[in-house]
Amino acid sequence: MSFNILVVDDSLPMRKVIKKTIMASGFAMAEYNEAGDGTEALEILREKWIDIVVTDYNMPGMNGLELVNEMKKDDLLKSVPVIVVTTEGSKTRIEEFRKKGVAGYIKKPFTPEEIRTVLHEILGEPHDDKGYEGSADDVDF
Amino acid sequence: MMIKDMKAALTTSISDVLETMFYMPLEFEDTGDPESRGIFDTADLRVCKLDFKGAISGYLIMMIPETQLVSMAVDFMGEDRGNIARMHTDGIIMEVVNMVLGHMLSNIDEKRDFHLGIPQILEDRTLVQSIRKQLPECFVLAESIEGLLLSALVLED
Repeated sequence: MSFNILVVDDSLPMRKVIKKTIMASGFAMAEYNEAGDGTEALEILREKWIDIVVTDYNMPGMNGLELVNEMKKDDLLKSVPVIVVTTEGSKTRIEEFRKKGVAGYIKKPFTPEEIRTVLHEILGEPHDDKGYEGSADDVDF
Repeated sequence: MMIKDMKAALTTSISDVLETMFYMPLEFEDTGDPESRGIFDTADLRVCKLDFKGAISGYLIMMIPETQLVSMAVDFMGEDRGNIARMHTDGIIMEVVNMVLGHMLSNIDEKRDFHLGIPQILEDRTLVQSIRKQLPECFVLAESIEGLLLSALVLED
């Protein structure tokens, strides 16, 4: 099985790194999508089938948690798993993520292994049966 | 919290972020003082500021030469040097400031909540000149193979 992934981050370098890490993790990516904030992410989510969302927390405009709130209000989107990537790792904040129904949480700075572990927990074992046909330059971890 | 503890936490955070995500070893000992090392006069210096609020409030400012940011972008994004533009290096310094401050505040007290603003690139040098004139107590000068990085944490009263 391969997955449609949406990465949401206002930082272009961070989107590239997350994409590279996911591709290098062995998870088959059918389609890679990206957005610069929560509003843009919602537009993509309402247009396309997305299997998992990996979102930054702290973004201008609609932040990661506000994006989760909006998704939970939508019957078609509420069951899409969301992983939040954040530097703000206080216990209060993590508890807030959990209460909102966030499926996973990755604290920055992260290693590629940490992303792999969280993806593995949510999507199951990696299957490189189909895979995203991106540039080989994108998988140089 | 004592300034020396804050400085130690900032040093650890810079080291963790740059070594974990940018594979960049840094030297913190014997780096001298920022003025005599000439970092403020670096022609291609990029400056980024990030405000924070919580049990302690203030801002972190980081100064990194553009040439060093280009190398960081090359390593981080896996792009050729020729493909790196200002939007990428600005993205790198903003991300570094965000991670360094968030990681530091989480490590100081993981039970306390804090709020980070959005990193701002400072083209205007007024704040840099003010820091140059009176260096905050909590600053860290680090040196990589390619040059110097200056970080200063300014706390609100």
